[in-house]
Amino acid sequence: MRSRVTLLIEIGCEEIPARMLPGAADGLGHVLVSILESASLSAGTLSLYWTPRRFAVRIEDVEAEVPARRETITGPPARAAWSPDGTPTRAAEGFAKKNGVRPEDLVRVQRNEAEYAAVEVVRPAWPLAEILRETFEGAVAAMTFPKTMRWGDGRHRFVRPVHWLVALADDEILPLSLYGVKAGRRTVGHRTIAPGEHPVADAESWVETLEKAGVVVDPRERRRRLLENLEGEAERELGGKLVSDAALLEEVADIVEYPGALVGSYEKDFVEELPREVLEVCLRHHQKAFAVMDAEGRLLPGFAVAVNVRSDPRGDICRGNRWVISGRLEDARFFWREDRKRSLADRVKELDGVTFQRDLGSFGAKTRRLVRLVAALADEMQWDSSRIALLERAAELSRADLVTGLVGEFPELQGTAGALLARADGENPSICEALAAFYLPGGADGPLPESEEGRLLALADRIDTLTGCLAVGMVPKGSKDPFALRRAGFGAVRLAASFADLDLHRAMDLAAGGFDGADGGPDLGASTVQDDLSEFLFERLAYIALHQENNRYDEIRSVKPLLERCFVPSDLFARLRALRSFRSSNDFAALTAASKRVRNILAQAIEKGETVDRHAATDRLTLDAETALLEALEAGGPVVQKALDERSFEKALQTISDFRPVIDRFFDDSMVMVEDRGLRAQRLGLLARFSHLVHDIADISEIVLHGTA
Amino acid sequence: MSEALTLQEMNLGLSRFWAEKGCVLHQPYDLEVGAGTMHPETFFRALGPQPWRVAYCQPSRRPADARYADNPMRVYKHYQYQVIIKPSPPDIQDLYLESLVALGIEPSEHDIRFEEDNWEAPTLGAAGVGWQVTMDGMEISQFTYFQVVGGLEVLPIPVELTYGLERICMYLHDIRNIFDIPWARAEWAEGGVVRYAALRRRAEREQSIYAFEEADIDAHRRHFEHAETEAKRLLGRFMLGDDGSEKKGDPLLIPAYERVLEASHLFNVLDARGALSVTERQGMIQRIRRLAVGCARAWVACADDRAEGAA
Repeated sequence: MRSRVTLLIEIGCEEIPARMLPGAADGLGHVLVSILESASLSAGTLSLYWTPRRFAVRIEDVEAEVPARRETITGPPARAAWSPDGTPTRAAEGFAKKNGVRPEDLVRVQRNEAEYAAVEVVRPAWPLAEILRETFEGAVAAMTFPKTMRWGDGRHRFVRPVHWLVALADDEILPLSLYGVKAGRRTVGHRTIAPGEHPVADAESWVETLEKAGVVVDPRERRRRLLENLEGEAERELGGKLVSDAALLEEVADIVEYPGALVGSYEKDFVEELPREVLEVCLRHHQKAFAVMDAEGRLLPGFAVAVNVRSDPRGDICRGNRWVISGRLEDARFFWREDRKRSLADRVKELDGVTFQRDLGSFGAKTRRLVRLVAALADEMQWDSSRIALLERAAELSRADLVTGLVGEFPELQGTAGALLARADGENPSICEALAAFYLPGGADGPLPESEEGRLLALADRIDTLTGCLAVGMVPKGSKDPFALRRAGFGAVRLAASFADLDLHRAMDLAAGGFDGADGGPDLGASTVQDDLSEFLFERLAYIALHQENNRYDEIRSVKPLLERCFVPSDLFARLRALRSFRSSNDFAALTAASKRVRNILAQAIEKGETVDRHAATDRLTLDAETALLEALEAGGPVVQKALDERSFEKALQTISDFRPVIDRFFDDSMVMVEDRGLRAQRLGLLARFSHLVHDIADISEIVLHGTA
Repeated sequence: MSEALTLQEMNLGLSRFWAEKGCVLHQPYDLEVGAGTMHPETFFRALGPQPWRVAYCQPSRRPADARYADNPMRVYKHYQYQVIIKPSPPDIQDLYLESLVALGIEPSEHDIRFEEDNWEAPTLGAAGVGWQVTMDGMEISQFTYFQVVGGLEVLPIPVELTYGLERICMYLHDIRNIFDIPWARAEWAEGGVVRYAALRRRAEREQSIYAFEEADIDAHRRHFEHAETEAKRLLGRFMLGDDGSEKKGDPLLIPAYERVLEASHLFNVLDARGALSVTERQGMIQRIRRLAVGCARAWVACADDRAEGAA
């Protein structure tokens, strides 16, 4: 074997769910990398591959063996290993035995200025094949998947039954096995294009071997070619363009081994009668099919699907897909016609019979709470009464589509169906728009509803759900979050941040007030859920700040004390942005150090029972350093306050940064904890005043800078 | 009529194929069931260590799917071809694909895919991992490796294959309405063929009316209670405690299980009839499940008798 090799491991299985494939390949990558790392073997580029029937990792430029080397193993201290006359003690004998040498073979070594007994051993070269043979199966068996299964005699548990294993270092087979399947060089071709086993010459040519066997094993390449084929077919056969859908493309590219594409058409009547949203959901969710449009963006009565074949010589595949799609569209048309026989508003009363959550009553009760909550929130924001009335109407209709046939058959149409039916009923357009969007955002990412009405409705809905669920003890734990409360939390924070002054604490109080037992809903009584919810939502805000706004954890900690006053996400995000851009300035760095010092002095003073009062008299502060600080605070105070009122947090930070020379001088020239009690109190008062001003912006003593941590 | 197989030829084709693969050909169970899985030859045989292979075509009643014979796809009762093989053989996917040839399908000419679908039967306390098999975009089979049956982990693992015969037949004949399915070729009949409508239409219409409008709700509730009480009594005859650890009398396992099947069907009718609130519905599912679990535990506990069969 050469000194550096290309390593290839392919695990062949029965069809693995598309959603688990990237994780499976990634998991195998981690398995191999950690094996190589723990043997200190260096390695080059790693690539992940998968199709429904296999996942694989190829690593280039892997060191082929751990070279032979001399190693010194340190044992007990020398004085414990040898008696004064130089004979080995029992400790030395034990240590020698454990390492397979005689006590006479022990040597003396220096470690940390002391002498120890040691053995010198020669480790033979450790080839990659050996290393993998010892560790591979155990490590693969420990991989985790969202769901695993047993099969056959039931001895093994894995994502799907394993059928083949290709394990090569260049062109040599590695002596591995997995669940009784021995590694070899035989991969398996596409089920119908090139069925059966195909020998792989070496790790380098594996992708090509599979290509010839009808399998495009590189998922990126498969997706690229699939899109090309789908677009090409749509153009050639239907003279149209694919309605692009990146998430669908990713999904369908992982349910085929060969990126075949096929288009078909359905009756034109469907396009004319059914709303576009309904058509697209039918195609997408039930047939994983793309819609096709003309050059002007109008839907054509056609579809494009990924197929795991090269061609459809008898036209059966096209016929089958058309058959199923037409059936789905017929169902949708039936429900669309039925649902419009009654108005959406007329259905609201049926929501009393639909459970929202076992302990939280029906969707009817939730709807009534929501109507009251949106009105109260809009009122706080001083919306005019006609606008509030529209919002209340939107809230009233928001869940009525749950009892339509359309949503019963196509749950993905929740919200969309309501908006379409409201439009057909002639409801106000802003109501329809809010209904279409109030399920947005999906979580920490994704768009928000465009209209303010939509965003406020969405926010009220999330806050109501979170308040209720937390109150009945449904707190998400680990991966268990069946009601998707974390997603609701992300939504609430992002939605609230889209309003300049929206205080989540106020919103929570209003929401909790809705659980008063009226309207058949639950009575939460004097629940203390607001504290928990505040904490829960701040965690979501912190996540967004860390992962999307590039904030650091210390910045987040420094704004957290502000929650004691209110919880206005737009304000918190603005402060966090200012801290992020300001933290690199020199004056700010010094000021954080000074703030920490002030914090410590004040904390110790309070602990000792000293009076700390920022309104303390200042008549005895006569040192230059003291009057300078006092003057700076008196002059700076209003400037900071004005900056805060204008939400220009950078300016506020700049203003307090300018305090740096005076606060440094204060610490240089003045002693706070002097004997004189009166003077002490005045100096403490001065620091408290400084601290108070700074805390109005953020508790910057939390900021950890290099060298000051 | 096209050359494609009739419904009964498909039934025969699958039976011949799976008989050649060593399956016992059984008859459908003679009580109302919602799926082939409920047949005792599947439910009980999935438990315990003995190997088992069986195939049968089970008429399956789903009252909530009834459509007064108006819907071209949905019916109160359909015919589910069911195969159980335990332990699951390593080449089961290939065997399945080969079996399609017996239905007149040449797999290489179609787009056949195995898409994730983890089957679950809450009333039987059963769950498995597997796929729905699609052909040219249409679901034709459910393919499941059982993991839990009657609340008990199974070992070895049985694999269950079910074929929706009507759908496949409709597709092969390119017909849009289930009632047009050619059931049998028959010289004596009009057009040389007996269609699904001749055998099923009247029953579909009447069963729909019964399930949605006429079924006596109180009587169904009483029968449900009776079936449950009876099943409990029969189970109590020979079991002490819930864990099946002690035996006290002679098992009457099959009659007990039949009461479970009755309860399950009565529940389905009440559900279709719209007589159950969400909580009541959930509660009834749990009650049936408890009985099914009791039967499963009893079956496992009386190891000596298992070889003598379930039905």
